[in-house]
Amino acid sequence: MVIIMNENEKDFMNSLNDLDDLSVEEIAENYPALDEKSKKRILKKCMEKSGFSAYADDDEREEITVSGTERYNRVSWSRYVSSAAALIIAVVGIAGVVMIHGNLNGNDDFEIDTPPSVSSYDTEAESVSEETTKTTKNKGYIAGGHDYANDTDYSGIIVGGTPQTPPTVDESSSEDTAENEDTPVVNNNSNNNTPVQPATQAPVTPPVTEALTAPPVTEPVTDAVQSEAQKSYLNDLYYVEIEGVSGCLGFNFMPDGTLNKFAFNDYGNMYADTSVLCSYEIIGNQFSYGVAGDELNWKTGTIVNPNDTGNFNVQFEDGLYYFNVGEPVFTKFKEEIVFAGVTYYGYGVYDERVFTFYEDGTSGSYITTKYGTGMSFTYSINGDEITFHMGEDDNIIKAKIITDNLQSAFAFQWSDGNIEYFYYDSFYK
Amino acid sequence: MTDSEWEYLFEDSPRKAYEYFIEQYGNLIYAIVLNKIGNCASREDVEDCVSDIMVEFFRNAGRFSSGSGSLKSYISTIAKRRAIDAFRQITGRNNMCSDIDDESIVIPPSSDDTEEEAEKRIFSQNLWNIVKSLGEPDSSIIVYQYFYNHTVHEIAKILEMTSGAVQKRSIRARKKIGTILRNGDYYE
Repeated sequence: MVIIMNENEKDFMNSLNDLDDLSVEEIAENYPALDEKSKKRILKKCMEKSGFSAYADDDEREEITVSGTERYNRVSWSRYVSSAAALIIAVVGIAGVVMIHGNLNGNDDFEIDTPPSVSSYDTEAESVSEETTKTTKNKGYIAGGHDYANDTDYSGIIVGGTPQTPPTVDESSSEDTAENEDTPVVNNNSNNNTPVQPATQAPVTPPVTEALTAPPVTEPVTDAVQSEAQKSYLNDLYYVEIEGVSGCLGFNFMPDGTLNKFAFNDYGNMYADTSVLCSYEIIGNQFSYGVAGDELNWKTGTIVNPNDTGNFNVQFEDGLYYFNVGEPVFTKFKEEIVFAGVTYYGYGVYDERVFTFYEDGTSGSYITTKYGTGMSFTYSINGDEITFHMGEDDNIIKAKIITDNLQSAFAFQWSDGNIEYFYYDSFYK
Repeated sequence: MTDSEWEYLFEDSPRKAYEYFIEQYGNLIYAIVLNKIGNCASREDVEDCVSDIMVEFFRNAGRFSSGSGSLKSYISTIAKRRAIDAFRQITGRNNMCSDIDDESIVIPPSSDDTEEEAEKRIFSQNLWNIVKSLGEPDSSIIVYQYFYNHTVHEIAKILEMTSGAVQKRSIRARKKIGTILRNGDYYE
């Protein structure tokens, strides 16, 4: 079997995107890629493509109801208004009937054999008319143990005035129930022969109390306790240069609200053993950080001149700290690069190469990590120029040593103009 | 959960159904899609395709017969088919994939290039075996970097490492992979 290596490493690493099904399943299981934000984006797309609003379900729906739709508010207060109006009309009407009877017959011992006509009104006044009717001697006609709530049409019976028939109030209450399914019927009490007391009825409570009081569940707890200022610094890696100090610190603001602090050396390489897990607070323009549980030793400084780029400075007692999102500037190590006895990893336009400079300070070798090919060399440095004598043929190749504005330890700008960046390798030793 | 149960859940609450489905099969579908179109599609394209697959599953819920295999296989089949459609759409839209071997990704090899296709498959499989053998966190770094196309900064967040450490470990891991490939130690 001959495996053909591609022209560059990127291509052969791309072969990872052409795996069999079992390998893909293995990757999906062991290396899940979807974070919460990705899941929400996909969920939103699914909902939209399915014809639903992205928020049209469950919690969101309840939240919409909580904000107050007319469905609930209208019923809860308009019933009182209409009941009061109906009560006035009924009282006036009955009083008028009584007065007319009294005036016409001159008989105070009158009886009403049929329910008053007002009971056929198709409004909520029926509930009140029932109450009024019950105050008369005929209340036995409209009372009884029968549950009339589900009866729908008694108008003919009532018109006939037959005793022991349910009143029209139940008809109206039935309709009322149908029209307002979510609303308790005001005059259900009629079946119990008890006076209707609209004023004491509890207002209709929308079934959203739980939603009103339920806390939102979409955000992690850590976000809830962090200030907006803290949030704005989350998930960012800052290179922190300190006035008058070479090298720099790294402040990595983690998603869980912690802060990972570490240090870079003058070559721009991280010291693994300097990593410290801290907590931090930002209150107003005061920035504090330190090891959790050891707040007495926290450092507190004042944030000054933050800007739109995300960079800001903090004035601590021991100096001004420059928090930069971008690459740090290691201005100090230009004169301090040590080649002798050091191995550097190089990357750039060429295949990745490892340069080892021997202890003698004049010789070394390099090897490509991809093919394992390379050669030995001797070298000499003059200012910011390094001259290599490569291999047995003694090919002379010159490069300019670049140190400024680099995240790597240094870079060689070769005579053809290409730049190769180098990392210090001691981190892995 | 069977597809019928998914169907009931969807009728009861589409949002919850999708949420559960994403939770259970989201990463698998995402990986399948990325495996097919990761070299030429943007992340938005991939997520778009993933959502298409999920919508299609619920539209066809109830049609799946358990006698024809597992639900996972059924979903994988939908995912692969949809990913192929997405690949065609994307390549028709632009030429981002012009530098990759389209046929090898989406269409079973013909008899003419079977041998070459087989070699590529074997190489991919061996590469994957090597990546797994690197150990953590190097395996994760390589997978997230070259399979999921995450940036170093994103990987650093996932693995709770610094970007510098991720970058250096990646370099070292790739060097090791290169050495193993060069020495032929990957043969099983």
